[in-house]
Amino acid sequence: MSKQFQFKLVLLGESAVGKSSLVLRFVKDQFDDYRESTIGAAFLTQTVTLEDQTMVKFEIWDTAGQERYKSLAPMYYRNANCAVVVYDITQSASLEKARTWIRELQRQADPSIVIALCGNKADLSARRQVTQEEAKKYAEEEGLMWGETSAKSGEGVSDIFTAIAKKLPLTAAPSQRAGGTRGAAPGAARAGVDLNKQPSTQGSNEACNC
Amino acid sequence: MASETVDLRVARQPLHSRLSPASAGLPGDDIADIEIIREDWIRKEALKRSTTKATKSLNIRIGSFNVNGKTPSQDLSPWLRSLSIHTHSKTGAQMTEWISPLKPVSPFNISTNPIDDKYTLQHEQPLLPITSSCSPSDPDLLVLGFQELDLSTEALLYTTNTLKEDSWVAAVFAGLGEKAVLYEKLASKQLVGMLMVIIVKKSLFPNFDHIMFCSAGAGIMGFMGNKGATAIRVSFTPSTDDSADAKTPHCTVLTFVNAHLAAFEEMVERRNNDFQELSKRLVFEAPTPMGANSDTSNESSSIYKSDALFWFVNLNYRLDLSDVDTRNLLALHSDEPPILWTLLKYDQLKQAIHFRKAFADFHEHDITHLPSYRFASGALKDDLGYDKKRKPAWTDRILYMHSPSPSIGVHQLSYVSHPEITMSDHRPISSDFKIQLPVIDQDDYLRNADKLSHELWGFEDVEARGSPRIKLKSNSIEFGKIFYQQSCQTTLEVDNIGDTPCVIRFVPADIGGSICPDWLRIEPPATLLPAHMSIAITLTAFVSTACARLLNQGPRRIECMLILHTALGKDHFVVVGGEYQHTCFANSLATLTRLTGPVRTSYATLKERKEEQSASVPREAMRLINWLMEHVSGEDIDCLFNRPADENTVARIRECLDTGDELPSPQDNQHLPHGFARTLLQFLDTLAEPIVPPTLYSRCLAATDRNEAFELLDDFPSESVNIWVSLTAFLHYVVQSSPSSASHSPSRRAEILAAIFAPILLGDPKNVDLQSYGISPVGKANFLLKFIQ
Repeated sequence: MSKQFQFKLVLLGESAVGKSSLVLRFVKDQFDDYRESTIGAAFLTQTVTLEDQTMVKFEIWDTAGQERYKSLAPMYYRNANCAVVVYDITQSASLEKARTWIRELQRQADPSIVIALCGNKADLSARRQVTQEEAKKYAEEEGLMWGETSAKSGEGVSDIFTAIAKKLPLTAAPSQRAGGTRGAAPGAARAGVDLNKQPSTQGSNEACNC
Repeated sequence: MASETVDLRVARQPLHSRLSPASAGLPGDDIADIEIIREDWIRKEALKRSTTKATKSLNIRIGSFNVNGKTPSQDLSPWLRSLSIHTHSKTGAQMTEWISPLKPVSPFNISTNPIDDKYTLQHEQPLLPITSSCSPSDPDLLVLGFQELDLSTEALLYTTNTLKEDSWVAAVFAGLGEKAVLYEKLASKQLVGMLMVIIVKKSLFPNFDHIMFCSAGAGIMGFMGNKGATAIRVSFTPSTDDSADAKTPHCTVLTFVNAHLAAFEEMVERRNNDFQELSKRLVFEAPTPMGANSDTSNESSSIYKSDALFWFVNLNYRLDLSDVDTRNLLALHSDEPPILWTLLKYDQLKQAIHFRKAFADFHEHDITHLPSYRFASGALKDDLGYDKKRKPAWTDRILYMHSPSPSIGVHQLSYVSHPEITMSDHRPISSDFKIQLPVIDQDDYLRNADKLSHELWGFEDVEARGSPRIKLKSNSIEFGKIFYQQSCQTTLEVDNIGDTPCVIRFVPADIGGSICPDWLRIEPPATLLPAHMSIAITLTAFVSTACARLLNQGPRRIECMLILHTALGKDHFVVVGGEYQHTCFANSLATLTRLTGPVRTSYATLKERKEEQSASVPREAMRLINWLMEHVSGEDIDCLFNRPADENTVARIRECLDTGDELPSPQDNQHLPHGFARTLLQFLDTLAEPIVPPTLYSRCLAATDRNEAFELLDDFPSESVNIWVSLTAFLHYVVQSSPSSASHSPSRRAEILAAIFAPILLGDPKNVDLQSYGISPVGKANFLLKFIQ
């Protein structure tokens, strides 16, 4: 039987870099040319199946990028297992904003959070302002995952989420990290849990990690 | 709808508080929340759709009388007959004319946000002015509770004796005089000395049915019937002929409880426990009808399963105040009716309600009558007729709770005692209620509820039905200027643009937090929205005194972020903001004395004060005092502080103080002096801390003469000294400049002024159990008197 895991993922980044479009492509394989700005937070789920048949279910919080809603972002990235910080390759200012988000996550989010830096709108490379080298170098310095995507063409989208799924510590002991599990009472820990595993075997696994 | 009557304690809980805990990014149990909100919505919507245009009202007069074992020997008509009798009596007129001025800032209101009273508790409306033009017709229902009908020891053992009951019922019908022919007895229930009798207009007799009784003892050994309660429950069904198009009108359940709790001042805990016990033990057992099918519902139901529940009681709650203080304050009542507010602060029942030890969520109307206990005769009585050996107290009370509108409207029209009836050591009390009932067609209701349930079924299955989609007209709400104590409203429009119904609720940013700041109210905070329908959610900004204390310390711009959560869908953010208009009310002396100009313009620029330099008097207090010194004389000054004032005038004067604009001139309006006097009182009363620091109270009370009192000023904080001196000098001036025609001597006038100002200048700390605190209000007044006499 295949293993199943569940993780909380949050999307952050400046307004209009394409966070919602990226999620729409990933979850429904669709694209809207004219999407309204997100004023709030949307919750979606998508499951990625890895080569070894391990299933990783992402509970995705797509948040508002506008500056005035910034104070609420911590409510959504708390307990997140992973964050995708998105910038627009045609706007160098958006990479600056991404750096700010990353610094905030490193300071305030769960220390074990997996962060991926994602350069979106790769289809507009003619208007590129952020070089791949620059972004990649920054990501390496900070120990982040990095990739470029185009929500419009679909290029690179599933790659980045699959990479995250592989990188997440699949053997991790159950934790309280994803209290936001939809439909469950707050505090119920289901994230990072092998859903097939018997509770009795978890303790021994944990001991091995010491 | 008797079978559907819900427990009042549940029905009165706001829907929002019954939902699962949730916050931004941590949705609660959306499925369960949908269930709760959908059920509530269907019930309300079905009620709305099945409500006919007709309404029905019932006039109920409730009376309570501890007869002290006496047999009826006096005419009971003042207690039984309608209000109009008292309208022309001196006391009646005085009481209804007088609206207690400090009510909004009394300690029992301060913790509750006035906005709640204003927007959610519709029953908390002021006593309707009683004039002959609106005097209610004869009551449809007279519900009378007697206590201590029989003080004999045998009564404890044999409770079957109906002789006493018969004589009292006869006396009641005699008291009704020529109206007696209109009435007949509907039900009665006796437990030892406690008797409840319900008398109904003959024409309405057939409309009352499902009458049920119960009783519970709480006396000797915890169950004997010398103390305890009796309860009667009746169902009222409007006649089909007068209920317009309702063919099957639904019925309303009314429950009445007559209770007599443990006596003696120190038994307060026992009384609180008795109440809790009786609340549990008073249960109506439905009789199993002879030959009825076994499936007929046969559940017992609590007294709280009612549309309206009344307790009228000899509760025996007393005053936690010394005998001297109590009588002293009561003696001032004839000249200064609001003095009762000072006394009622020490009332054990008010305290018990406030601290939710008993009668939590019950409503009791403002008391404007004198204590109903204990009266004596001959040499045993004091000047007011009270027993010299027993401290006067409001032992006899009427309280009620009812299900939230629109299902029932309860309006209390009067709450009085009847000093004319002197046969007992208690005076009887009475209260008139007008109950308004929408006429609902029961069959239609069931059909509608069924139809709605069918329509709204299953939308939580988002896989099959699609995700909920809502759209907000705007994500930014601007109130503009927000003034202290002035409510201002706007709406947030939400459209359901999806093809399925959805449920929306506001959630706090953090678990356990509030969905919005204290200055804002959202109605409804949770609701169901059918597919393709819109709702306008009302946002109300209201800055209460407690809110203003905080906001006065902050910047002008106030803003908050609301999070509107769609169950199983998105969170939407809404920014709500406004420009707070700073005010000198609900401010602190330390701030006011350091401002360089009027509050509104200079709130942000506090001047640095050198330590040795003593603080000046706040300019606002000085402007009020100067105005009063300049413009008030003669007749006005005699009753300057004990006349009601128009709140709009107070608001206008306050606005001038805040902005620095010129104060209104006395030519404007002849009542202006009272407006200024009231403004000064409210300014002082809303100060963040009393002028005299509470730590000095015991020393203030110990001061035996003027010199000792003045020496204490050295220990006042610097910002308190000057305002104390200015105020007391002004009050001294008021005392001295009495016109020759004045109704009181200067010393009497000084006493009255001290009784008004002392509770404010030496205010009680908020939320302190006054029972344990115990600073004599008369002692405080005596301290102030040393400065103004």
